[in-house]
Amino acid sequence: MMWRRARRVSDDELDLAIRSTLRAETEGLEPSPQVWARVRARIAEGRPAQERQDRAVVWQARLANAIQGAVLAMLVLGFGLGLSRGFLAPGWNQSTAPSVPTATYVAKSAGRYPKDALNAKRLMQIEQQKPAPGAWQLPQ
Amino acid sequence: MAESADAALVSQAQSGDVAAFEALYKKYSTMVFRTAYAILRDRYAAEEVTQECFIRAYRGLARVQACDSLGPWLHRIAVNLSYNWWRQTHRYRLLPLDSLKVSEHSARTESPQAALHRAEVNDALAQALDTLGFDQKVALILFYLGGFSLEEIAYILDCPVGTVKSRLHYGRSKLRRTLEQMQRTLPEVAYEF
Repeated sequence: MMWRRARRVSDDELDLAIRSTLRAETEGLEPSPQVWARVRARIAEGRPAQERQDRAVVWQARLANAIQGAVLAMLVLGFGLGLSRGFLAPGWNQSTAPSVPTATYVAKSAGRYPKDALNAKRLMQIEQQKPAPGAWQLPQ
Repeated sequence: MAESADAALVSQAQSGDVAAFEALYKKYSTMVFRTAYAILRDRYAAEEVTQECFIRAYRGLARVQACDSLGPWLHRIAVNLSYNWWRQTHRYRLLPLDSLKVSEHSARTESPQAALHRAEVNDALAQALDTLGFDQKVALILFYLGGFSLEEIAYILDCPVGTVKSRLHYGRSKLRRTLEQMQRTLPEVAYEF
């Protein structure tokens, strides 16, 4: 027994070998007659079902389009109304105007204090006043 | 001639003639079945693919134009179905026992030694085909078994012609290596009488 040397397989040999292998594997193979029977049965039973399914798909697509359009219209309308009401005007955003420091400043400047405003001292005086006889009194 | 006959059958089948579709089935089912079998190496799977292929073809007949050749279109459906099947099962697939049998078809006309050698080559190549990737394997099967042109294979696999050439090249290279390795390892037997 001796080992053969490797020989380059020619293209023709390779083509022949591959073709021969594939044909040998599938030679004489046929699908069984039951396959056509099953295909025919599925075609017969599937036609109305398929049509129903197709119609359902069409209606689903139309409904999805309608919902999409309505949502888009609402967004456009809302955005447009917001613009017409100055939605994006700079004064709309109250958080840009600092209120606490201004209030502190006003409270310190007594001269600019509104005349009709109640300060803490006046409130204490009102609370400590004894009610006049016969006047209504809140329950303690 | 065949395409015009197909076109007539297709137009009849499109109008709901099941007999015309049956004629198309009889014409193409064996080819589709053998292609699916060569890809999957499983008779049951090949029958399932063939069945589903023709059901889908019937439902999609409205999209077929008169000038279309039906063979590549049917194979495109069958290859896609085979791919789905292969993807689900290839991790756990075992080689069927009949894939290891010695081919008997050539024993009628060849000497026993030549027939044995051919059977060994076929077995080695069949096993080497199984080690190829799905795309390379299918390209080889469509080219060598189906006899499709490169353009038709490109249509079936939905890829450019250059990609088909590349897959054929690499698949052939791997099978060539298998053949050469086989020739190297096969012992040369001296027969003494």
